[in-house]
Amino acid sequence: MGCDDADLIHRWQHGDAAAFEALVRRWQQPIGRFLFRLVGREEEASDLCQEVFLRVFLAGPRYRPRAAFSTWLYRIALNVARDAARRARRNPVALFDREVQDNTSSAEVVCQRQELTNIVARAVAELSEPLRSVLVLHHYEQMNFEEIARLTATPASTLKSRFAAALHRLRQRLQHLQEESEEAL
Amino acid sequence: MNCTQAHDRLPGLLYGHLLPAEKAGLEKHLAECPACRQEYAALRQVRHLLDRGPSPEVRLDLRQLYGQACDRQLRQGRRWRRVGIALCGAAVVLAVIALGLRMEVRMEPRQLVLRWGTPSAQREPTQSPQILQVQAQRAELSSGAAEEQFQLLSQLIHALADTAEARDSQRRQELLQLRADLRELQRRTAQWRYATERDMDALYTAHFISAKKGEKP
Repeated sequence: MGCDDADLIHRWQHGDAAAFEALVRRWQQPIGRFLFRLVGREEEASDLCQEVFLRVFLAGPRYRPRAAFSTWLYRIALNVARDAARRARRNPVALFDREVQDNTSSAEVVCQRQELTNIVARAVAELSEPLRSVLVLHHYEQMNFEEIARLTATPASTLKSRFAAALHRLRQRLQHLQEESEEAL
Repeated sequence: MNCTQAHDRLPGLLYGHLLPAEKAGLEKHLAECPACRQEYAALRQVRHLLDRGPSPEVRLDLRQLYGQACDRQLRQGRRWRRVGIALCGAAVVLAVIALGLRMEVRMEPRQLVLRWGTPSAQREPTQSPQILQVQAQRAELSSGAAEEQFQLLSQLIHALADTAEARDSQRRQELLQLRADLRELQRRTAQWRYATERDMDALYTAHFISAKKGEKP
Protein backbone atom coordinates (compact mmCIF):
# COMPACT_ATOMS: atom_id res chain seq x y z
CA MET A 1 0.00 0.00 0.00
CA GLY A 2 2.92 2.28 0.81
CA CYS A 3 4.32 1.97 -2.71
CA ASP A 4 0.92 2.68 -4.24
CA ASP A 5 0.59 5.77 -2.08
CA ALA A 6 4.00 7.00 -3.25
CA ASP A 7 3.02 6.38 -6.87
CA LEU A 8 -0.29 8.24 -6.47
CA ILE A 9 1.43 11.17 -4.79
CA HIS A 10 4.05 11.34 -7.51
CA ARG A 11 1.36 11.38 -10.22
CA TRP A 12 -0.68 13.94 -8.30
CA GLN A 13 2.31 16.25 -7.87
CA HIS A 14 2.80 16.07 -11.63
CA GLY A 15 -0.75 17.22 -12.35
CA ASP A 16 -2.89 14.07 -12.24
CA ALA A 17 -6.06 15.11 -10.33
CA ALA A 18 -7.43 11.55 -10.48
CA ALA A 19 -4.47 10.39 -8.38
CA PHE A 20 -5.48 12.78 -5.57
CA GLU A 21 -9.07 11.53 -5.74
CA ALA A 22 -7.82 7.94 -5.48
CA LEU A 23 -5.84 8.89 -2.36
CA VAL A 24 -8.96 10.47 -0.86
CA ARG A 25 -11.08 7.40 -1.57
CA ARG A 26 -8.44 5.17 0.00
CA TRP A 27 -7.94 7.17 3.19
CA GLN A 28 -11.21 8.94 3.93
CA GLN A 29 -12.67 6.02 5.94
CA PRO A 30 -9.65 5.32 8.18
CA ILE A 31 -9.12 9.03 8.86
CA GLY A 32 -12.83 9.66 9.35
CA ARG A 33 -13.11 6.81 11.87
CA PHE A 34 -9.95 7.97 13.62
CA LEU A 35 -11.32 11.49 14.00
CA PHE A 36 -14.70 10.17 15.13
CA ARG A 37 -13.06 8.22 17.93
CA LEU A 38 -11.09 11.27 18.97
CA VAL A 39 -13.92 13.81 18.96
CA GLY A 40 -16.97 11.59 19.55
CA ARG A 41 -19.35 13.32 17.11
CA GLU A 42 -20.03 12.03 13.60
CA GLU A 43 -20.84 15.41 12.06
CA GLU A 44 -17.79 17.05 13.56
CA ALA A 45 -15.62 14.12 12.46
CA SER A 46 -16.87 14.55 8.90
CA ASP A 47 -16.05 18.29 8.95
CA LEU A 48 -12.62 17.62 10.40
CA CYS A 49 -11.97 14.91 7.81
CA GLN A 50 -12.78 17.47 5.10
CA GLU A 51 -10.32 19.88 6.75
CA VAL A 52 -7.61 17.19 6.85
CA PHE A 53 -7.82 16.51 3.12
CA LEU A 54 -8.07 20.22 2.38
CA ARG A 55 -4.74 20.71 4.17
CA VAL A 56 -3.32 17.71 2.30
CA PHE A 57 -4.44 19.22 -1.01
CA LEU A 58 -2.92 22.63 -0.24
CA ALA A 59 0.34 21.18 1.11
CA GLY A 60 0.66 18.53 -1.60
CA PRO A 61 3.14 20.38 -3.83
CA ARG A 62 5.50 20.77 -0.83
CA TYR A 63 5.18 17.14 0.38
CA ARG A 64 8.44 15.19 0.35
CA PRO A 65 8.38 11.42 1.02
CA ARG A 66 10.67 11.48 4.06
CA ALA A 67 8.23 9.20 5.92
CA ALA A 68 5.21 7.10 4.92
CA PHE A 69 2.25 9.04 3.56
CA SER A 70 0.02 7.53 6.27
CA THR A 71 2.29 8.98 8.99
CA TRP A 72 2.00 12.43 7.45
CA LEU A 73 -1.76 12.03 7.07
CA TYR A 74 -2.34 10.92 10.66
CA ARG A 75 -0.15 13.77 11.91
CA ILE A 76 -2.31 16.26 10.07
CA ALA A 77 -5.45 14.58 11.46
CA LEU A 78 -4.09 14.77 15.03
CA ASN A 79 -3.27 18.45 14.58
CA VAL A 80 -6.70 19.18 13.12
CA ALA A 81 -8.40 17.41 16.05
CA ARG A 82 -6.26 19.33 18.57
CA ASP A 83 -7.00 22.65 16.85
CA ALA A 84 -10.71 21.89 16.89
CA ALA A 85 -10.61 20.98 20.59
CA ARG A 86 -8.78 24.22 21.39
CA ARG A 87 -11.27 26.28 19.39
CA ALA A 88 -14.35 24.62 20.85
CA ARG A 89 -12.99 24.36 24.45
CA ARG A 90 -14.44 20.92 24.39
CA ASN A 91 -16.72 19.65 27.11
CA PRO A 92 -14.95 16.55 28.39
CA VAL A 93 -18.26 14.73 28.95
CA ALA A 94 -19.51 15.00 25.36
CA LEU A 95 -21.42 11.96 24.19
CA PHE A 96 -21.66 10.12 20.92
CA ASP A 97 -24.68 11.35 19.05
CA ARG A 98 -25.11 8.38 16.80
CA GLU A 99 -27.72 5.80 17.54
CA VAL A 100 -26.99 2.17 17.02
CA GLN A 101 -29.27 0.87 14.28
CA ASP A 102 -30.34 -2.64 15.08
CA ASN A 103 -33.58 -4.06 13.75
CA THR A 104 -33.08 -7.62 14.98
CA SER A 105 -32.94 -7.09 18.74
CA SER A 106 -35.66 -5.96 21.07
CA ALA A 107 -36.04 -2.30 22.02
CA GLU A 108 -34.73 -3.01 25.50
CA VAL A 109 -31.56 -4.60 24.14
CA VAL A 110 -31.11 -1.73 21.70
CA CYS A 111 -31.47 0.76 24.53
CA GLN A 112 -29.00 -1.12 26.65
CA ARG A 113 -26.50 -1.18 23.80
CA GLN A 114 -27.04 2.50 23.16
CA GLU A 115 -26.54 3.22 26.83
CA LEU A 116 -23.38 1.15 26.92
CA THR A 117 -22.05 2.81 23.76
CA ASN A 118 -22.67 6.21 25.31
CA ILE A 119 -20.96 5.18 28.51
CA VAL A 120 -17.88 3.94 26.64
CA ALA A 121 -17.80 7.07 24.49
CA ARG A 122 -18.12 9.29 27.53
CA ALA A 123 -15.31 7.48 29.31
CA VAL A 124 -13.03 7.74 26.25
CA ALA A 125 -13.87 11.43 25.80
CA GLU A 126 -13.01 12.11 29.43
CA LEU A 127 -9.45 10.86 28.95
CA SER A 128 -6.81 13.51 28.52
CA GLU A 129 -5.67 14.15 24.94
CA PRO A 130 -2.31 12.29 25.19
CA LEU A 131 -3.97 9.17 26.65
CA ARG A 132 -6.90 9.30 24.24
CA SER A 133 -4.64 9.67 21.18
CA VAL A 134 -2.43 6.68 22.03
CA LEU A 135 -5.48 4.56 22.92
CA VAL A 136 -7.22 5.31 19.61
CA LEU A 137 -4.06 4.90 17.52
CA HIS A 138 -3.04 1.61 19.14
CA HIS A 139 -6.42 -0.03 19.73
CA TYR A 140 -8.41 1.15 16.71
CA GLU A 141 -5.75 2.01 14.13
CA GLN A 142 -3.61 -1.01 15.06
CA MET A 143 -0.41 1.07 15.06
CA ASN A 144 2.49 -0.26 17.10
CA PHE A 145 4.22 1.99 19.59
CA GLU A 146 7.20 2.65 17.30
CA GLU A 147 4.89 3.99 14.59
CA ILE A 148 3.00 6.12 17.12
CA ALA A 149 6.35 7.37 18.46
CA ARG A 150 7.34 8.60 14.97
CA LEU A 151 3.92 10.19 14.53
CA THR A 152 3.80 12.03 17.85
CA ALA A 153 7.55 12.55 18.47
CA THR A 154 7.17 10.81 21.86
CA PRO A 155 9.33 7.89 23.08
CA ALA A 156 7.77 4.44 22.68
CA SER A 157 8.28 3.60 26.36
CA THR A 158 6.27 6.72 27.33
CA LEU A 159 3.51 5.70 24.94
CA LYS A 160 3.35 2.20 26.47
CA SER A 161 2.93 3.73 29.93
CA ARG A 162 0.26 6.10 28.64
CA PHE A 163 -1.62 3.25 26.98
CA ALA A 164 -1.61 1.19 30.18
CA ALA A 165 -2.74 4.23 32.17
CA ALA A 166 -5.53 4.91 29.63
CA LEU A 167 -6.82 1.36 29.92
CA HIS A 168 -6.80 1.41 33.72
CA ARG A 169 -8.56 4.77 33.84
CA LEU A 170 -11.16 3.56 31.38
CA ARG A 171 -11.78 0.52 33.48
CA GLN A 172 -12.29 2.60 36.65
CA ARG A 173 -14.40 5.18 34.87
CA LEU A 174 -16.60 2.62 33.14
CA GLN A 175 -17.23 0.88 36.43
CA HIS A 176 -18.21 4.20 38.02
CA LEU A 177 -20.45 5.22 35.09
CA GLN A 178 -22.14 1.83 35.01
CA GLU A 179 -22.87 2.10 38.71
CA GLU A 180 -24.33 5.59 38.14
CA SER A 181 -26.43 4.27 35.29
CA GLU A 182 -27.78 1.41 37.37
CA GLU A 183 -28.62 3.78 40.25
CA ALA A 184 -30.47 6.07 37.81
CA LEU A 185 -32.58 3.11 36.70
CA MET B 1 6.17 -10.72 41.16
CA ASN B 2 3.89 -8.66 43.44
CA CYS B 3 0.42 -7.31 42.68
CA THR B 4 1.63 -3.77 41.85
CA GLN B 5 4.04 -5.10 39.23
CA ALA B 6 1.37 -7.44 37.88
CA HIS B 7 -1.15 -4.60 37.74
CA ASP B 8 1.20 -2.53 35.55
CA ARG B 9 1.80 -5.44 33.16
CA LEU B 10 -1.84 -6.52 32.65
CA PRO B 11 -2.48 -4.24 29.62
CA GLY B 12 0.73 -5.62 28.07
CA LEU B 13 -0.54 -9.17 28.52
CA LEU B 14 -3.91 -8.25 27.04
CA TYR B 15 -2.40 -6.69 23.90
CA GLY B 16 0.60 -8.98 23.52
CA HIS B 17 3.30 -6.45 24.42
CA LEU B 18 5.15 -8.64 26.94
CA LEU B 19 8.34 -10.58 26.43
CA PRO B 20 8.02 -14.35 26.92
CA ALA B 21 9.73 -14.30 30.33
CA GLU B 22 7.50 -11.45 31.57
CA LYS B 23 4.40 -13.17 30.24
CA ALA B 24 5.28 -16.44 31.98
CA GLY B 25 5.90 -14.63 35.27
CA LEU B 26 2.62 -12.73 35.05
CA GLU B 27 0.58 -15.80 34.15
CA LYS B 28 2.06 -17.61 37.12
CA HIS B 29 1.06 -14.70 39.37
CA LEU B 30 -2.49 -14.62 37.94
CA ALA B 31 -2.86 -18.33 38.67
CA GLU B 32 -2.22 -17.54 42.34
CA CYS B 33 -3.90 -14.12 42.77
CA PRO B 34 -7.71 -13.82 42.46
CA ALA B 35 -7.66 -9.98 42.74
CA CYS B 36 -5.32 -9.62 39.76
CA ARG B 37 -7.33 -12.20 37.84
CA GLN B 38 -10.45 -10.10 38.43
CA GLU B 39 -8.63 -6.96 37.30
CA TYR B 40 -7.48 -8.75 34.14
CA ALA B 41 -11.03 -9.87 33.41
CA ALA B 42 -12.25 -6.27 33.83
CA LEU B 43 -9.61 -5.05 31.35
CA ARG B 44 -10.68 -7.70 28.86
CA GLN B 45 -14.23 -6.41 29.16
CA VAL B 46 -13.02 -2.85 28.53
CA ARG B 47 -11.27 -4.04 25.36
CA HIS B 48 -14.42 -5.82 24.28
CA LEU B 49 -16.50 -2.66 24.87
CA LEU B 50 -14.05 -0.56 22.90
CA ASP B 51 -14.38 -2.97 19.98
CA ARG B 52 -18.15 -2.61 20.04
CA GLY B 53 -17.97 1.15 19.60
CA PRO B 54 -19.70 2.56 16.48
CA SER B 55 -17.74 2.99 13.27
CA PRO B 56 -19.50 5.51 11.04
CA GLU B 57 -18.98 5.92 7.32
CA VAL B 58 -17.39 9.16 6.22
CA ARG B 59 -17.68 10.32 2.65
CA LEU B 60 -15.99 13.50 1.47
CA ASP B 61 -17.40 15.92 -1.03
CA LEU B 62 -14.53 16.54 -3.46
CA ARG B 63 -16.25 19.41 -5.28
CA GLN B 64 -16.72 21.19 -1.97
CA LEU B 65 -13.09 20.42 -1.09
CA TYR B 66 -11.79 21.99 -4.32
CA GLY B 67 -14.04 25.00 -3.75
CA GLN B 68 -12.70 25.43 -0.21
CA ALA B 69 -9.13 25.12 -1.50
CA CYS B 70 -9.76 27.93 -4.03
CA ASP B 71 -11.36 30.11 -1.36
CA ARG B 72 -8.48 29.59 1.01
CA GLN B 73 -5.88 30.40 -1.63
CA LEU B 74 -7.81 33.52 -2.62
CA ARG B 75 -8.01 34.58 1.03
CA GLN B 76 -4.30 34.00 1.44
CA GLY B 77 -3.59 36.06 -1.69
CA ARG B 78 -5.80 38.88 -0.42
CA ARG B 79 -4.06 38.75 2.96
CA TRP B 80 -0.63 39.08 1.36
CA ARG B 81 -1.92 41.88 -0.86
CA ARG B 82 -3.20 43.71 2.24
CA VAL B 83 0.15 43.21 3.98
CA GLY B 84 1.98 44.55 0.91
CA ILE B 85 -0.30 47.59 0.66
CA ALA B 86 0.11 48.27 4.39
CA LEU B 87 3.90 48.10 4.11
CA CYS B 88 3.91 50.40 1.07
CA GLY B 89 1.63 52.83 2.87
CA ALA B 90 3.88 52.82 5.92
CA ALA B 91 6.92 53.45 3.73
CA VAL B 92 5.16 56.38 1.99
CA VAL B 93 4.12 57.89 5.33
CA LEU B 94 7.66 57.61 6.67
CA ALA B 95 9.04 59.20 3.50
CA VAL B 96 6.57 62.09 3.75
CA ILE B 97 7.42 62.63 7.40
CA ALA B 98 11.13 62.51 6.63
CA LEU B 99 10.77 65.06 3.82
CA GLY B 100 8.36 67.26 5.77
CA LEU B 101 10.57 67.41 8.82
CA ARG B 102 13.72 67.64 6.69
CA MET B 103 14.94 64.59 8.47
CA GLU B 104 18.55 63.61 8.18
CA VAL B 105 19.53 60.01 8.72
CA ARG B 106 23.21 59.21 8.90
CA MET B 107 25.16 56.12 9.92
CA GLU B 108 28.35 56.77 11.82
CA PRO B 109 30.69 54.41 13.64
CA ARG B 110 28.77 53.09 16.66
CA GLN B 111 25.82 55.40 16.25
CA LEU B 112 22.85 56.20 14.08
CA VAL B 113 22.26 59.93 13.75
CA LEU B 114 18.67 61.05 13.23
CA ARG B 115 18.11 64.80 12.93
CA TRP B 116 15.17 66.86 11.85
CA GLY B 117 14.13 70.48 11.64
CA THR B 118 16.23 73.59 10.75
CA PRO B 119 19.21 74.46 12.88
CA SER B 120 18.41 77.23 15.36
CA ALA B 121 20.65 80.29 16.08
CA GLN B 122 21.14 79.37 19.74
CA ARG B 123 22.24 75.88 18.89
CA GLU B 124 25.71 74.99 19.98
CA PRO B 125 28.18 74.66 17.17
CA THR B 126 28.37 71.12 16.01
CA GLN B 127 31.42 69.29 17.01
CA SER B 128 33.42 67.27 14.61
CA PRO B 129 32.68 63.56 14.51
CA GLN B 130 36.12 62.83 15.87
CA ILE B 131 35.54 64.95 18.99
CA LEU B 132 32.11 63.38 19.44
CA GLN B 133 33.68 59.99 19.08
CA VAL B 134 36.35 60.84 21.62
CA GLN B 135 33.68 62.15 23.99
CA ALA B 136 31.63 59.02 23.54
CA GLN B 137 34.66 56.91 24.12
CA ARG B 138 35.49 59.02 27.17
CA ALA B 139 32.00 58.42 28.52
CA GLU B 140 32.42 54.73 27.95
CA LEU B 141 35.65 54.80 29.85
CA SER B 142 34.01 56.01 33.05
CA SER B 143 34.32 52.70 34.81
CA GLY B 144 37.26 52.14 37.18
CA ALA B 145 39.44 49.88 35.06
CA ALA B 146 38.83 51.94 31.95
CA GLU B 147 39.64 55.15 33.83
CA GLU B 148 42.92 53.65 34.93
CA GLN B 149 43.79 52.81 31.36
CA PHE B 150 42.92 56.30 30.33
CA GLN B 151 45.22 57.69 33.02
CA LEU B 152 48.07 55.50 31.80
CA LEU B 153 47.51 56.65 28.25
CA SER B 154 47.48 60.25 29.40
CA GLN B 155 50.77 59.82 31.25
CA LEU B 156 52.30 58.16 28.23
CA ILE B 157 51.28 61.03 25.99
CA HIS B 158 52.72 63.58 28.46
CA ALA B 159 55.98 61.64 28.65
CA LEU B 160 56.25 61.60 24.88
CA ALA B 161 55.59 65.33 24.77
CA ASP B 162 58.31 65.97 27.37
CA THR B 163 60.80 63.91 25.39
CA ALA B 164 60.02 65.85 22.23
CA GLU B 165 60.47 69.15 24.07
CA ALA B 166 63.82 68.08 25.52
CA ARG B 167 65.11 67.11 22.11
CA ASP B 168 63.90 70.38 20.70
CA SER B 169 65.75 72.32 23.42
CA GLN B 170 68.92 70.38 22.77
CA ARG B 171 68.76 71.19 19.08
CA ARG B 172 68.36 74.89 19.86
CA GLN B 173 71.41 74.81 22.12
CA GLU B 174 73.46 73.20 19.39
CA LEU B 175 72.32 75.81 16.90
CA LEU B 176 73.32 78.66 19.26
CA GLN B 177 76.75 77.12 19.76
CA LEU B 178 77.26 76.80 16.03
CA ARG B 179 76.30 80.42 15.55
CA ALA B 180 78.79 81.51 18.22
CA ASP B 181 81.55 79.45 16.59
CA LEU B 182 80.78 80.97 13.24
CA ARG B 183 81.01 84.51 14.63
CA GLU B 184 84.35 83.68 16.24
CA LEU B 185 85.61 82.32 12.97
CA GLN B 186 84.50 85.46 11.12
CA ARG B 187 86.26 87.67 13.68
CA ARG B 188 89.50 85.78 13.40
CA THR B 189 89.29 85.81 9.64
CA ALA B 190 88.82 89.60 9.72
CA GLN B 191 91.82 90.00 12.07
CA TRP B 192 94.03 87.85 9.90
CA ARG B 193 93.02 89.78 6.80
CA TYR B 194 93.76 93.10 8.53
CA ALA B 195 97.17 91.86 9.65
CA THR B 196 97.95 90.58 6.18
CA GLU B 197 97.01 93.89 4.54
CA ARG B 198 99.20 95.80 6.98
CA ASP B 199 102.12 93.57 6.34
CA MET B 200 101.63 93.96 2.57
CA ASP B 201 101.51 97.74 2.91
CA ALA B 202 104.68 97.77 4.94
CA LEU B 203 106.47 95.58 2.43
CA TYR B 204 105.28 97.68 -0.48
CA THR B 205 106.41 100.86 1.21
CA ALA B 206 109.74 99.38 2.12
CA HIS B 207 110.45 97.97 -1.32
CA PHE B 208 109.19 100.48 -3.82
CA ILE B 209 109.15 103.85 -2.04
CA SER B 210 112.69 103.44 -0.59
CA ALA B 211 114.10 102.43 -4.07
CA LYS B 212 112.87 105.68 -5.61
CA LYS B 213 114.71 107.74 -3.07
CA GLY B 214 117.92 105.92 -3.90
CA GLU B 215 118.05 104.32 -0.60
CA LYS B 216 118.83 100.67 -0.25
CA PRO B 217 115.92 98.70 1.23
